[in-house]
Amino acid sequence: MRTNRDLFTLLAARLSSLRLATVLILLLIIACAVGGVIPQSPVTPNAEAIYRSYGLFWYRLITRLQLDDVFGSAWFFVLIGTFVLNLLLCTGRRLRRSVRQVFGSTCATQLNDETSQTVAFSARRPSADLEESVRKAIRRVGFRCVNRQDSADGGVWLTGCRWRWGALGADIVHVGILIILLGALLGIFREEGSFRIDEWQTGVRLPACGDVDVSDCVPLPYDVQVNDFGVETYDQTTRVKDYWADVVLWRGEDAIERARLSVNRPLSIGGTGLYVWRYGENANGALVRLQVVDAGRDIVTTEIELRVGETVPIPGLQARVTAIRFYRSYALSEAGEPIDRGNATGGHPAVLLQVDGFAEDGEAIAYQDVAFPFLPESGAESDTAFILADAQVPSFIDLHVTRNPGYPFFWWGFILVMAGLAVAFYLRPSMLRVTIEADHLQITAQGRGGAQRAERLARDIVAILGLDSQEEVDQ
Amino acid sequence: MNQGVLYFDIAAIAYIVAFFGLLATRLFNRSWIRRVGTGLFVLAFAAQSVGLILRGLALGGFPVTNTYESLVFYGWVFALSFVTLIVAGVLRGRLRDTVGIGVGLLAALAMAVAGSPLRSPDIAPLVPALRSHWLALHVSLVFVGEGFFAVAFVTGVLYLFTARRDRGDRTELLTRLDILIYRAIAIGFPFFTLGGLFFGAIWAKHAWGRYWGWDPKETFMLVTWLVYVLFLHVRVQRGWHGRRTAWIAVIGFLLALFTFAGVNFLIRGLHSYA
Repeated sequence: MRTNRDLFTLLAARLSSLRLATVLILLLIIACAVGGVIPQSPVTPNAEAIYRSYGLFWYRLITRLQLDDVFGSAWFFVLIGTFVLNLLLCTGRRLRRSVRQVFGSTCATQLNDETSQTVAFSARRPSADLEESVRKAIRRVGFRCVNRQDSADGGVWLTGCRWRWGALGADIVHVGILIILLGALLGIFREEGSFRIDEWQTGVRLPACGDVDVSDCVPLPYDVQVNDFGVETYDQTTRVKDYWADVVLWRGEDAIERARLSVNRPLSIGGTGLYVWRYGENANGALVRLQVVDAGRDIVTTEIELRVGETVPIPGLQARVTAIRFYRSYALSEAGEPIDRGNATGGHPAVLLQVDGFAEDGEAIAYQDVAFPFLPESGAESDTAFILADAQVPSFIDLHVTRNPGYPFFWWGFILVMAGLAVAFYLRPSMLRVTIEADHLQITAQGRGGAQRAERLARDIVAILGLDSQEEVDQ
Repeated sequence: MNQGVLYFDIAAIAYIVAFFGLLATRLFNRSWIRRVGTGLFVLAFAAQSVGLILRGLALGGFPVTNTYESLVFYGWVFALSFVTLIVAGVLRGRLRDTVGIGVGLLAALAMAVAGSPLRSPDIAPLVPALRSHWLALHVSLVFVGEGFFAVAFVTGVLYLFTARRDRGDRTELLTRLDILIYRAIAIGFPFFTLGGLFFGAIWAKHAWGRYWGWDPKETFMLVTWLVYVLFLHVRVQRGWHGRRTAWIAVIGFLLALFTFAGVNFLIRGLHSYA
């Protein structure tokens, strides 16, 4: 009957096995490929509509298996969790072995590398002090830790090792990956948000979670002031080269940092990253100037100026007008709905107005009107009409704020993985073995540089020993 | 502005002729054909190198700023990896010629696609996100890694083709092919990891404020990386050799190709300009 300890050992062996690692890597490949091909709903806004277009079967399959959010699904976390467990246990087991190999007093005795090269020499009968001479020769070609071992057929093996710590390469890579995954786990506590700064907000100190237009507020230990921002274009073109913002960070009365941020030039301070995120024109912050027209007499009676979202009284009338929305280029969709075609060339600016109040005859009025830069020839439903005389659309810049406690772990993980890969692939341990038999000397070398280097090492040993030999190379 | 295009055209033609030359060497076993084929391959590589330098000087940066330049550079790293393996003494004798046929074909294909009318050779200004020194580090190291994967791919195809027709007298050749697949991947893998995953992640942090975002291009880069991780584990630790590892090398490079070219055309993401 198995004891609990046996079961635990068996479970640990299974969980740390290479077989499980292979299966998990395969499953990760499949999961990531599926997540890469199927539009993921958190990133693709119209993902659900896309799935519906595949048909009911596929729609149900995708949503029930959470294939619409693979990387946020419970089954993906279980997969990653099992992978981490496998890697952790495997690394623990390997590390014990590698540490013994690196710091142990004897060289490993196995020569099983594909780069091994054996050179057999027929030499004179070895003299009594040959063993000591070989030991010295092995040391002279750079190998330390020379071990002596009796071979099965009555001879002697002298084995020298170097770069033994190269055996740690794979373990260092594993530890690095574990640290990266720990960083990813800590990413659960990350905070992200963005500021929108309009032109008229430049020079104003903005608390991170104040009255400004802030989404997903990230509390910051400083206030942000954007003194200026703009866009840089390539010479004689309208192609955007970069966009930038001059930022001052305040803590109390102290300006703790002044910097020009641009794309690819963020500001990192106190564990928080500040990025220039987006640049554009904010139609919702447009300032419009309207001419009020007496439609009956076809004359302009007055002018008013208001920002989108504002309500102002109309002079001479008992009514108010609200600018609901500004269109940089007004157009009608196929369904007849007004849409803004953005900065399309040949734009037709317009503003949607809401008029409320009382007409001259005392009758209550409430209607919407669209004001263009000209007076429409027909369709006036009221005695009062509006002409869009001018519009100023302010530029904006979005600043993105991130704070992620996992970032330092990523860095250390990256460094360890690369160091481990370099060690594992380019600084592998080398081993040199000289077998002394009754009338025969055989030298086997393995490690970096492959067969050619091994052969050269063997020749160096022979030269140092000053042996008169006939060689026979075994490729 | 299309600096370097003349050299790229010369390289494309030379690669195609070199491919046929090296192929003819295998069929007719004439040393003069071999010399011509090898000479043309070297000429193509040299012309491509000169073209890339001129292009880089005109740009004032690393010439991987659009699809045309990326394809030319892609073709160049195929040839560079092949030449590196020859210089390092890993590729010798008839194996060198045979692998050269495949690498020459891949380089010629990359140049042909780059030269198609669908790709403009004009130098275009960079979008803000690409104006970074990380562009050169990220793209060049990924491509260098993939250059070695391309050699492994060619060798893998050769292995599968040879093993299919194995008459029992090719064991030594198959062993050499098998070792070459491993060595090419072992050299390319650290470059691919450093350039593709780590430098890409660091650049993403600089430009977008996060190391990783499961963008389709990032995801398929990870998929490709995992395939090579699988290759290294099953070969080094489980002792898989032969057909199975050759298949993984072939699939790995096809995925790398899909990540480079396919993702941009089929799936929308943040790397759409890449």
